Amino acid sequence: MLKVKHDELATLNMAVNGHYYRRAVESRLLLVDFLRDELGLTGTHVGCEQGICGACTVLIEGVPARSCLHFALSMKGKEITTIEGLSEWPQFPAIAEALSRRHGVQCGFCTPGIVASMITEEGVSEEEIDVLLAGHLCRCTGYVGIRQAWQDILAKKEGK
Amino acid sequence: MKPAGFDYFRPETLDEVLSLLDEFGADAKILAGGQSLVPLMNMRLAQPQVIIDINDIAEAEDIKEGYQELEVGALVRQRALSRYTGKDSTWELLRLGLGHVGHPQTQNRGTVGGSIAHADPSAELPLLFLTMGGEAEIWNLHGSRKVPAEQFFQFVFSTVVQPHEFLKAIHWKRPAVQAGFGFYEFSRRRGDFAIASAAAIVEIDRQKCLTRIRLGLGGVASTPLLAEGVDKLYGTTWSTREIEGWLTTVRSDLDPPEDSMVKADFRRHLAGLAAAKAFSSAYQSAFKKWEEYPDA
Repeated sequence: MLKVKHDELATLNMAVNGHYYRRAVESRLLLVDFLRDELGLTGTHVGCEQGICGACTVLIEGVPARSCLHFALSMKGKEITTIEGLSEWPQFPAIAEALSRRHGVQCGFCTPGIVASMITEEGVSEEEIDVLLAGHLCRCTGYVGIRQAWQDILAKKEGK
Repeated sequence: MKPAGFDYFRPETLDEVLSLLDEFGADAKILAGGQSLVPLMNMRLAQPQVIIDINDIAEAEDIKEGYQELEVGALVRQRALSRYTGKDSTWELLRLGLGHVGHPQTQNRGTVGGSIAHADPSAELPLLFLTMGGEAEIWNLHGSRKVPAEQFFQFVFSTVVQPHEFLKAIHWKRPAVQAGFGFYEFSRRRGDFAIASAAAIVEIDRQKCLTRIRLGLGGVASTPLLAEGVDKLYGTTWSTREIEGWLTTVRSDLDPPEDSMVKADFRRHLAGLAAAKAFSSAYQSAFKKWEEYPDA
């Protein structure tokens, strides 16, 4: 059983974007702060720190989740993918192109989180796009461009 | 903000979880999906001294469907249950209600057991558990017990699970084959907690007489509530006047909480509307089942 006192540092091993990292961390360190401050992966943004805004969304074992609602230590041995890793995925250029063409990016604060949801939720319906987008706050675009970009990608996949 | 410091334990067996709870009791909090606990810790509304991370407890990860119940382990993610219930109309009420729980990105991590143990009075899973009925399987170092849903919730964020105990699984009662289901919720935005919500199960017989009704209400009291006075409708067919009369009594009996956004009267009003909508959907769904399978 892993035991870490509140004033101790524990060794954390984690695979992030296919690279293996080993760091000493406090138990209370959040995953998002670990990614940004310890690993320098600042593409993941800190927003509300209560799971509402979706800016910190990353993939935990391939599934989109809030990195502000997980302790880094709790992710020991897990595989994490951030926007830096997603940008190497084969699906990424099409998503970036669609978001650009549809003006789905303005300030870009929400974009890394949204891309994490877009890239993994394959085979969604148009209604599910709205459900998934509801998990991300965007204060610039009004969502229309993002939604159109997502629809474009689905249409392309279906060969329309 | 950032959470305050805590001692972190990551047990690997149920026995280890129970021993830790026995040792630390009220100083400890169980961490499953963390989708309610970690926000509270980030805002320092909760500052537990000890965190017991149960994510390695394999025996709490399963969904097991039995003849009379659906057993859902403490670590089953909300999204997993949502996917499971999507393929079988028996558990349709769960599917309907889960559609309102947070967002897919939080459901991927948030657990069914965690939400029920957290016992937010406006959350959907506690309301579903009370409405569907069933039992909570609770363990401590010396043994286990099962508590019916009707006795499980005690107050806001408070259940019968004691500080040294662990909610290991929820056993959802299997509804009757011909039961109809309805769920309705008022909230400000998709995924928010409900201002008022209602879940309903309606059973009717071949003559379309009402034989069993369960109507649960969320967001209107310190725990989810079951509507009373349903038995006077049993044995009668649909009568808008009778049903409206009953729902008016249900609504006026409520003493809902008030906050700066929602006055008590408004919440009572919305609860009445949610109840009527959930109830009529459930009746229609039961009616349709008889039409489709008259020989069942």
